[in-house]
Amino acid sequence: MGWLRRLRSTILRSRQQLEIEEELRFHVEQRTEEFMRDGMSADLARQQALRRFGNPALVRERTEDADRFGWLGDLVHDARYALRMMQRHPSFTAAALATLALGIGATSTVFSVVYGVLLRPLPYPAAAQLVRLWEEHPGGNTMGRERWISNRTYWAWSEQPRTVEALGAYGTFTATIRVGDDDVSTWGAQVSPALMPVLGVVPLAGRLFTAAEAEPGASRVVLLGEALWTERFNRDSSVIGGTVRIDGEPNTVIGILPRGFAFPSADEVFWRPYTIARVSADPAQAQATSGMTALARLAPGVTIGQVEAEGTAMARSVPVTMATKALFGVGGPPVVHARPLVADMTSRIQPVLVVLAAAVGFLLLIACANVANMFLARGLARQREFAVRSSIGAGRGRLVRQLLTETFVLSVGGAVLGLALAWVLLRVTPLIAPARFPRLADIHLDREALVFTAGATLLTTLLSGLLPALRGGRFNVAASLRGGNGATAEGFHSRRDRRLRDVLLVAESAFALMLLVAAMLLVRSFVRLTSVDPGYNSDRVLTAHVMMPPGSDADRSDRFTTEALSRIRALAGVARAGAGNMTPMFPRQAVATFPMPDPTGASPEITARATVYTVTPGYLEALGVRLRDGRVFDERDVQTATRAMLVNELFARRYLGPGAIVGRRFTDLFRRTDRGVVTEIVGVVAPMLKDGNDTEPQPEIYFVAKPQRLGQSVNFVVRTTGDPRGVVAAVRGVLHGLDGDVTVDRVEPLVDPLVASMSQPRFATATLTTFALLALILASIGLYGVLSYAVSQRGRELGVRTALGASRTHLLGLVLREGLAVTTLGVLLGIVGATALSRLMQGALFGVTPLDPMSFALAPAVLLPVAFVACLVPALRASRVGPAEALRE
Amino acid sequence: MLRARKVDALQGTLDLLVLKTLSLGPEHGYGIATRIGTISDEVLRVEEGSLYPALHRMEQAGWIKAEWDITENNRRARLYRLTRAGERRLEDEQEKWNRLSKAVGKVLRFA
Repeated sequence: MGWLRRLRSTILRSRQQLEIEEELRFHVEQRTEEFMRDGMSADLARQQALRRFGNPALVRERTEDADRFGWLGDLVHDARYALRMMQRHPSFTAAALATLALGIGATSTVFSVVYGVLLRPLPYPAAAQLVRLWEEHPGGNTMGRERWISNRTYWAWSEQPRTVEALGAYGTFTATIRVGDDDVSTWGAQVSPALMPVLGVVPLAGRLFTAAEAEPGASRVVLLGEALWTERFNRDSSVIGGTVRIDGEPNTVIGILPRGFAFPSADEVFWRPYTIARVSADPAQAQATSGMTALARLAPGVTIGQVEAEGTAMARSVPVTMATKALFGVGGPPVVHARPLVADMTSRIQPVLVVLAAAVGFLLLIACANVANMFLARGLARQREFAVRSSIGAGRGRLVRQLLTETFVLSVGGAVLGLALAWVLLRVTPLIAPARFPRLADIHLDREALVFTAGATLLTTLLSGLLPALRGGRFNVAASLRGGNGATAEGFHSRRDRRLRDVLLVAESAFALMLLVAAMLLVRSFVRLTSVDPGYNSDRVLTAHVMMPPGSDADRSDRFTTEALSRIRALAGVARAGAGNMTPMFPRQAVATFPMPDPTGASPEITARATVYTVTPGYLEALGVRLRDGRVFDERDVQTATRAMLVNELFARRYLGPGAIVGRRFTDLFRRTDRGVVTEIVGVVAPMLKDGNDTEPQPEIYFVAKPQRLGQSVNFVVRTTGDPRGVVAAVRGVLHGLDGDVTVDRVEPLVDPLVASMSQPRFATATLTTFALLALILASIGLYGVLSYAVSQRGRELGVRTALGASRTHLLGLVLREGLAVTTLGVLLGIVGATALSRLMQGALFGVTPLDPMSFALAPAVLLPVAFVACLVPALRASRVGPAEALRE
Repeated sequence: MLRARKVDALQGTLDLLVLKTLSLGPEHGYGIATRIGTISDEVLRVEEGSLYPALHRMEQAGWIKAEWDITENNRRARLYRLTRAGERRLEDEQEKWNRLSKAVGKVLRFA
């Protein structure tokens, strides 16, 4: 573009510019005439006049700027000068811009994510007053990750709550909605009618739930989300008042909720009233307890502590039944906890985001240190320029301002590129973010992110510009002018500069090491997580979930299951097949508590608690559950009067004590329902990590699915000989073909939900590893750049050393030692820093301790060789400096 | 170096000097520099390079107005004259300067 500007400046000089030229020329000519009057020769007079006037081009430029920008003139002038400097040194500019763009871009991206997820207020009125409530029975072993309050506590509390204004429950579930002939699998939510107004939602059309609609037995109503209404019903308002089948059940549509309403998350597309089970006086139901995810709004002026106190008192005022123990474990008197909703929604992702935020902060610091070092190095190269400017009257403040402006212009350039990078990254984030990542829709590059980027830019300018600028503004003019490059040692390149440079290098390698340790910890966690033995073999397994039509009897379920299994087993490519009430990764739990003789003999009876599987023969083989002792179920077990049972090793160890397990018999194992039923343990299996690899093994028992025992929700497990995806269509065809009224969903390879369950740690690991590698690269570039520069500056010194007989290895060692000394110091400090950082990320780790020796050993093992290579190149160059060649300079 | 530093110290008062000079009558840049030199018995020497950016800046601020005129020896010169706003500005600056010099004088007498 240079030619264009030249063209413009020669042909298109504005009248104003011509006038300024004329005005200045007039001045110089007047002065020349004055000097000539004083007796000077014409030549000398003109020379003196010009000297007195200063650089005409510079004056002209500044005058033009004054015309255009008034008092901003100087600043604009500096900025222009900076741009020209950038243009003149394209490789320096490119390196600095890329470094800053990377630092600022990554920081802005992570800020947007952290702000959107953790900090942005929830879109509900008085969102800060919303708290999640749950009760804990201290010492009790709860199975899933669910945190509930019991319906007993709820009913006691809701009678006369003092610390909360609205108390209710919500939950999400997958369901299939039938639109025309199409089954659509979606997420829905159940919400207590009392919570809807608290959440501040106003229906687009229709009305919200009434309290009566949440009573048991009330007719079923549903609110549709605007997105679902638009996509599936073409915004047809006649839908309101009509019925929609959800999981086969007809529901009356009472209203449409606007698109902005995302509760509990953006995934839910319809809402039903939450029915909280009443505590029944019926003796058959007297033990029943259910758990609910509870939400409340604090009454004005009430603290979380007061809510917890009232809740605890309520939870202790109700009886703890067998079913309560099944839900909350067998523990001490209940304690109720309360936590702000936003913190609760993001509690699982929070440790990951905190680590990412810390990581990206370090990345920005490394980038700043790099750019600062580049400026320091270039400051040395520009000492002559500064010396000249200083001697023609530029004060120190003027030079500092000039240098800061240059950094600022670079930082702004970096910020613009960085924002572009962040924009791209945020577009990509939803694609790589883990499944059910909270508040993904709240992540944008918006005002807060822009303010943050502006702040980061200023900080970058100060961090990377101030030190070099202050150094650049203070130096020995005479020495610099005298000696050119050779005189660096006196003029500019003081000991303090070198120390400053070393400090920056140490900081860079320390930060890089901390990031490497953090990344190693996550990588090792992830490896642990994927290599956990889940107790089953997920390869080549297809699962399918079937909901029998509402109101159908157990016979229909039995007939359907038996016939479906025999047809599926006959399909080509199917090895084994079975069915049961649950499959791994299926979000449903069947848990039972029952009394067992105490194996230690310390007390007559203990309460056993176990996950209860009801499965057909073939189920365990299809899943590949490992048999430890005895046998698995076969067809005979379905028919005999004795109830065959399998237990896992954990159940055996915890509740059965020493001695042979297989063959043990219990009469009336379930005392409340069994009437003379004999249960016999026929085998022992390995524990299954049903809810994901990061969960603890639980006591599990298996019963064979006798007639009438499978219920309305049937999960099929199919082991295939090839890729399970190959039989999806065939299995779906069998299930739909048998009974057109059943709802079929989740026909998918078992590895899919298993992989999805690990998407969050995978996301964290991938992101942090990327950051750590970037940090490593930036730190190495910094090391390389500074050492290369030092070698080129010390050419004369090295030459003298060679002349005096220093060997090549000696020179090689000299430079290597210098580089590796700062790196090693950085590594040591980084290890100290990493112990603090790793504690911060404890929540994101699995199977490794925060002080995992392997990670702390591996990180330096990666960093040091890379640093060595970064030092080696300049060191080799130093060793090749010939005496003559160096002295000639 | 010494000269540069002196000018730096006077930078803030350059506006005042220019406005005062122009209050005596319209003048071109060269004339302003010369007049300041003569009146101050060559103690104050305006750095000529800074004079023109300052003049144009003050013109932008509306304190002075410029027009092209013909000098005695038939040369085109850009002539600056004080505006109303400039007169007021001059009073302000003068007032400020007087206060400052009075204060400095006091300190010198008593300290």
